[in-house]
Amino acid sequence: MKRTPLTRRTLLRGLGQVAIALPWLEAMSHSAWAAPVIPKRYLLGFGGCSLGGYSGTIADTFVPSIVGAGYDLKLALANLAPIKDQVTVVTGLRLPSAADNGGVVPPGGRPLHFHEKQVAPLLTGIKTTDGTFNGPTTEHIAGDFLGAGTLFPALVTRVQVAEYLTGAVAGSGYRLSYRSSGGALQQVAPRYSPHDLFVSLFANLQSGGVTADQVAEQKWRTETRRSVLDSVVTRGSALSSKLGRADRAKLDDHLQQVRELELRVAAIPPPVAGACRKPTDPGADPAIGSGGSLDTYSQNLGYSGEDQRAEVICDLIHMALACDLTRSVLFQMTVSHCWMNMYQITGQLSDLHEISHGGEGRLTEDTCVSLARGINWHMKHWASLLTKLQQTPEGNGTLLDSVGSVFTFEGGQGFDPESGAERDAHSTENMAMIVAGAGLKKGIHLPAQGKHPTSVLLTVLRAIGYTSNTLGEVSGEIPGLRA
Amino acid sequence: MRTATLWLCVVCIGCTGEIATPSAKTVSPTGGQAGSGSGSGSGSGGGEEAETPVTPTAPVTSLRRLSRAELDATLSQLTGDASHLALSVLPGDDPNPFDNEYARQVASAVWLEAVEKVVVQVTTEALADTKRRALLLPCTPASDDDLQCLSTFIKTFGRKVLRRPVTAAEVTQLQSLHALARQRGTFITSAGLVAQRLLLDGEFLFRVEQGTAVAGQAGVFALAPNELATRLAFVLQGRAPDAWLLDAAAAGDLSTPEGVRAAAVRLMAEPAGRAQIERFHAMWLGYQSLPFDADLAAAAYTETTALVRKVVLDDRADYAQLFTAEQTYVDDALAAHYGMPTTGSPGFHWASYGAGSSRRGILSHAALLANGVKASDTSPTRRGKWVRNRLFCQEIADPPPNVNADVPPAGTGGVVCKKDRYREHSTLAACASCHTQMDPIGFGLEQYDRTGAFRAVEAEHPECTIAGDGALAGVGAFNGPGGLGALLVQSSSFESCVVKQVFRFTQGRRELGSDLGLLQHLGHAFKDSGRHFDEVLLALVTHPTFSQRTETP
Repeated sequence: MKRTPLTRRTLLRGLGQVAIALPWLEAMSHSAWAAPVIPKRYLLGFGGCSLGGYSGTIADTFVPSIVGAGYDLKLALANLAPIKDQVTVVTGLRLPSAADNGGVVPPGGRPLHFHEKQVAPLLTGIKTTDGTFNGPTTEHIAGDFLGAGTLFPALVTRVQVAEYLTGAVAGSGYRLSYRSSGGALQQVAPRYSPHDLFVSLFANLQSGGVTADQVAEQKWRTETRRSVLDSVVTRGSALSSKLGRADRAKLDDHLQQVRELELRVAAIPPPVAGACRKPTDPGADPAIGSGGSLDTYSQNLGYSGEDQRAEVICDLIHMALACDLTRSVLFQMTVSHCWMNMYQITGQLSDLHEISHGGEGRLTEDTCVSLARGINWHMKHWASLLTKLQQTPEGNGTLLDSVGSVFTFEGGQGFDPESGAERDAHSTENMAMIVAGAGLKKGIHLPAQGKHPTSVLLTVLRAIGYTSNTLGEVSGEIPGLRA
Repeated sequence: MRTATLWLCVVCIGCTGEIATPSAKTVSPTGGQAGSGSGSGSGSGGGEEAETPVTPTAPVTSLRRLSRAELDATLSQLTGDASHLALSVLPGDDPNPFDNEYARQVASAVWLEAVEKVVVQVTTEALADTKRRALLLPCTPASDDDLQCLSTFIKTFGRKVLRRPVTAAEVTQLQSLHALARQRGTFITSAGLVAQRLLLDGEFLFRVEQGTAVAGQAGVFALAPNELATRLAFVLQGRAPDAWLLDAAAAGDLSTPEGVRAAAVRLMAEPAGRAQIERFHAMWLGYQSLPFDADLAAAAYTETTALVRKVVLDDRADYAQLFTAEQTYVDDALAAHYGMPTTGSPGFHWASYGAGSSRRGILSHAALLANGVKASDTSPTRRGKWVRNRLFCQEIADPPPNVNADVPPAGTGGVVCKKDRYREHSTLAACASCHTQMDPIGFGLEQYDRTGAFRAVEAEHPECTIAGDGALAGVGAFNGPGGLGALLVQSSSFESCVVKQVFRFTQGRRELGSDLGLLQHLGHAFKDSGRHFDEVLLALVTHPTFSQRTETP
């Protein structure tokens, strides 16, 4: 069975109320723009690098020296300064590997290999032997229990446009968002174009001052678009029934996407009221992968204006949450095993991955220092997003008060069971997460030595209403993280 | 600090030793579907050793979504779109190395929304442009409610989009959009809505093959004539069939091998057919997207494409010349980059490498030497692996779990020169089993940096000279890309690997054990023709199995 949370019949019932500024589905009756109850939200950030490696120690560049309140910000987290009193830094986390378990991957663990093998257990709490995801990721788990009636049950975004290892293929790179659909696991592709994200989220929002004719025109455009998509699904379903098993499954997956798009198109947009407003059209995206210089390390290759892209995407996420278009967001800044060129961002003549291994001799400072500059770029945008949420009033508090947020990196610094090296970047020891928002401790440094990093995700989820005490194969909260 | 011991290999799995001519039986039945990364570990079909002939069977296939390039080419074909909007709006197909592996095509909201955006914009622009409008609309509407003209449009444009006749019921269904369109629009609005509806149809965005069951062969279906025409067009042109091909199919012209061959020759001679052959080479040989600055990237692409055109399309020469050509197509900037004489005149020209150069053939081009390198320098290991993988169709296993392949060997005890630093790979027995298959190939190309420029010493260590001596284990020694090319075309793996890559590209997947017979057939056709590349494609499409499909179990 395919996931059909909103049936065709329900859709038609809703469409009868097209011109009425009310949610169009009973399933949306709890929605914020109709109901006074402030919903809970989930915001997950991801950076595709470790915290340090090769030379130096993250004790000097990342981990605060002070435990508890009033902690110090080192180079890697310096950009958190404006929002530090809201942010809790959890350190000392450890994701187990096969080396801990006699060569067999333990629950919630990874094999000896690092790259693209550690992300699945980190984000699902379920072990992997080869990097394959064996369960849904938390933005979809949260989307399912928080956002069933919203336009985007889970909004999956990514800043880094391409993997950049070979050329710049838009949208390429290791995928790390998976949803559960009728018992099957579906990969979810990230929305990497800021402009297209703007259109998808906000095209239907009325920015005010529209005439009756403009309203009618908009309604007509919506109806023509919806009719076309509906007809595509109807005829596609008839075709699908005539195909063999494998072909049918593939076409049905596609038709499910068409149906979901139709539902988004037909939905009544939220009113532009309170904190919700239509963002300014960001215009065309920065160019993808422009040329570089052969004289030195190519300064522009492997970069597509990700700094500007991150800024726009943060604005759009902020407003998508404020307008209750979504209640669960993945903000993936960099691709796992990040080959993005850092030159335009930090002035370093290397990509983030090579930097974590010493920059191939091109960088003279300790690797941990070099890497901290890249981590701090992630924190610049994360702090900006959290600040926007905190500056947005909602109810008696702020938008941030209802958002359980957590930012994670894909590795730490420590023992590498692949090579046997200590203080390596290929390590899931000494991992850390940046936590803020709903029901969580504010402004402390919380060492959680040896705790599984997925426990942090679990704690954040539980703070916003997740009832199980288990995420995948990982159980139990991080003590002291809940407020 | 990391120590050299990190580089010690304990075990290497999957390094089978010399490049040899294996028995045809060694095609791996577990070669796997596309994306598995576990293709056959050895050559097959067309080898010099006696092979056991196997009867070809209809290849297993599945629903295939149009790749970004196919969608772009088809929209251009149907609407006259010259803006290539699809290429800038749609997510890319991650190449492996081909962009059309159907097992990697995952349903995606991002893709769908991008397709919708492209379809709306392209059809709106086409219908607003009176010249382009004629390409879609075969009649002039007498009024905004000329349903006769709309019906004609649905039938003609619908046939091109769906690649089959439109049924009467479908005409009626599509006409029902007219009333909605006319609420606020004109006839052109109505036609636009119909066009968008057609272009978002699953039968347009996917290649749907049904056919009729073949008696006595479970899971095998004979394609309908229009399905065969569609397959022919996508294989040979990377886009949908033109009206003439659909007409030929409807007239029964594709029911004989001669008829298919005539259509195929015509398809391959058209610009779209030539472009498809160029695209195959660009993906197979890894130069579709080059990590260079814009000028060098454009020049390198021009150079390499020119040689492919000359050998494959214009001269129809022995395919070996692609790897042994004594001339190349350069402008002064590229010639200077290569250290070749310049002419002082603008534009590209054919120039000889000359006796003093170890450059010969396509492997000498910047476009190919950019493969298998790291961001800052060449990697003899990666280049060797690339050569094994792409040119010999051999898979080299990933490094064992105790090796960090991210960092080049640091060397121990004051060792500075690259060749010496890599020596550990060959002196330690555990590493050698794999690295002797790769590193000596890479060292044979070491005099050419990651942009294809010549160097005799290491840039950061001028005291380290680079000899450029390499070896193909079990075949022979060589120096430079010309030497490698000469060994390659003499190798018994050459023809079988070319054929296998063509097979992967045309089928959208890696080969399976059940494909052995067809691979043998293609290998023989290639060899017997004097290694004319187009004969591989013609042998594929004229074989009876081309008009059949085996359903994915």
